[in-house]
Amino acid sequence: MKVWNRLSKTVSLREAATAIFGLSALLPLLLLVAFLSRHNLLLKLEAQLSILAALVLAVFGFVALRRMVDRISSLVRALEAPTATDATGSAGEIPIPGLGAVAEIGQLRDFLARLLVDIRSSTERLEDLVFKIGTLNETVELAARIPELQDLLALVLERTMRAVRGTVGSIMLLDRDRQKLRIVAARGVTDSVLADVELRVGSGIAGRVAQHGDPILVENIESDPRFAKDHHPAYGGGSFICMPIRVADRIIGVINLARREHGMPGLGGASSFTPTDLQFLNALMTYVAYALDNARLLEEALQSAKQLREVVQDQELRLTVAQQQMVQAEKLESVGRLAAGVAHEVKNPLMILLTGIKYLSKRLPTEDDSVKQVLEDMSDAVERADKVIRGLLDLSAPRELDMKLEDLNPIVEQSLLLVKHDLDRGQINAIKKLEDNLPPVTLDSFKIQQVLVNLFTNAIHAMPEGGMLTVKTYRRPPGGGGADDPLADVPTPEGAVGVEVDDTGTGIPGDKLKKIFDPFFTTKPTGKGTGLGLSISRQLVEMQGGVMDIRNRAEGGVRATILFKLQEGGK
Amino acid sequence: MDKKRILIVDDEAGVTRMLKMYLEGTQAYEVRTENQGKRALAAAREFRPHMVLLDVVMPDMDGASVAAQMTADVSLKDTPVVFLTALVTNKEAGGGRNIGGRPFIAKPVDPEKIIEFIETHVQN
Repeated sequence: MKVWNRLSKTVSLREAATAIFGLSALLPLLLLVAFLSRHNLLLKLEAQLSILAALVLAVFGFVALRRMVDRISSLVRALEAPTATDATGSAGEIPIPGLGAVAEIGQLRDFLARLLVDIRSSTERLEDLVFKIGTLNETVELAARIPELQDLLALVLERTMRAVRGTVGSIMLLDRDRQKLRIVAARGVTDSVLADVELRVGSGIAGRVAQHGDPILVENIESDPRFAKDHHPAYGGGSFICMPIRVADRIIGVINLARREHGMPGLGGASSFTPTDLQFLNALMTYVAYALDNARLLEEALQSAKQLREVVQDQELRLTVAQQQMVQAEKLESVGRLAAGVAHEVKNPLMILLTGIKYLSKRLPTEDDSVKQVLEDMSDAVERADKVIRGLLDLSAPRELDMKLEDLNPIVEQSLLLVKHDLDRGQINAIKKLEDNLPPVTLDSFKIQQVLVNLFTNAIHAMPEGGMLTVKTYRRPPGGGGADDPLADVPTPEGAVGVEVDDTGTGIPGDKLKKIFDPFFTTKPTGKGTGLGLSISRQLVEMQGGVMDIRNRAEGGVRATILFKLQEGGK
Repeated sequence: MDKKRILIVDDEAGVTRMLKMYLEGTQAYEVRTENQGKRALAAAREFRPHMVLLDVVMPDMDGASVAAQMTADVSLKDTPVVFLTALVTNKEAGGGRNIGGRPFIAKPVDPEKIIEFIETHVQN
């Protein structure tokens, strides 16, 4: 058996044919000769002629068979290296000497050639399929691990183009709100070509794919009428495919791929996308769509988180400011409550002191100037203490407003009269610039007078060597103030009426400017002010819906501005 | 000339003592002091003052209640009462206001002003 197996592996077709011929042709002849010889018929002429004829036919048949077998062998050898003519069968006629062309051999040759081509084609398709499946697995696995949208898009596009052998490609994502497709990744074209590409859903090939959800395959870009209008030179000639990227029934974008006219190496001349390519893209996009959608959602979430963080920070700032304001308000309220209690407890001792001082002033000898001075200083101290207590009580006093429609100019004039004596004594020139026909504003005239007197008094104290006090009233037009208006950022849609008090004093030191409205803060020497005036003044203005600002002037001195907003109807 | 009788009602003993000393030092006044609001009415009935100086905030009975009692008393209803008060703001100290219809003087006050007031409101 082993010998037989070795023989059957190594015997050629020629050897096999020879053996078979020997058995099927020569052996019967030998048997015939043996038979004739046995029956003494061999010497007969007829027998000898028959044997000779049989022998000649056998030799002839043997030669023909050998030739045929040799041709078959050479055919088999030729099939191992096919040519184009082999595939088409145009050289399929195999002449056999003495027999002419043997049709079955030619057909066999053609059949085998076609089979070989088919097998090769199938093998290529299979290899291509395996490659695509590998790409699909790899891409899906990688896509699951890449959260950043841009990186994911680049990966998907590169792998997809490699799998279908595309030469140009792009991914467009859908902006659902604007119903437009925008390129988010591209390969094979320069950025400048595609930078501004934005397609409305429904227009262009990509727009139609996004609208209907069906892929579009263009086998020849240049000749297909669907592509004619939209043909972009960047894609070149060749075939084109546009595939929707879908999450469930929601289209989130499209992928565009082109394979240029002359194909890619290894394609065997094929340049058009095939149904297999379509199937592959469909499968890939199905898996990748979820990853793309998640990456986009993550990007949007991060953006929202950033915006939310900014809003929260802004709110935290506002809250901090509001809390500080509340703390300040509570402090003021506490101060007010405290003030009432302190006032009662302190004023009685002050009363005792004052009564005692006055009693001693009457009783002690008046020749001693130092005694007189002491008693005078003590009396002044009691008065000063009394002023502080009254200022505290002002903070705690109930804010009853007597709001009426008033003309501001007379209030200003009256206030100036109240400080006229101090102006004259301080050699301060008072200049009035009161605009005529100011619209009336709703306010408590007594309280505004208090505020103005406080501002004038501060200005007078700031000019111990004399100077100029300028008081101006004006109408601010609707919408806002000019560039040099300190309250320019205060909106006054119906306009406003303002009053400005300027002095030519030394101004307020920069580091103290922020604190001037704080209770008990004063820049005056000890004993010259309680520090409550501006705090109370601003409260009084704000209670009436006004706004107050105090700042240094560029030319020196301070400007205090009060603005009263006009209501609809100019009041 | 008879001295004018002045009743001073204040829970602060130092205030009443000082004022008494000052007013009687002028030799023009006879002063009685009372440090409890609820004893003021009895003191007034007995002393029959020409004027009552009445503190507002007192622990046992406030000045407004004492004034109301006096108004209700036939023998005292015409006696001038002036409040001595610590709880006065700058605006209120500017004058022109009353507490419950009665005039007030803000503490601390120069005792000469009290004398001025007494002389304005009390006829011999």
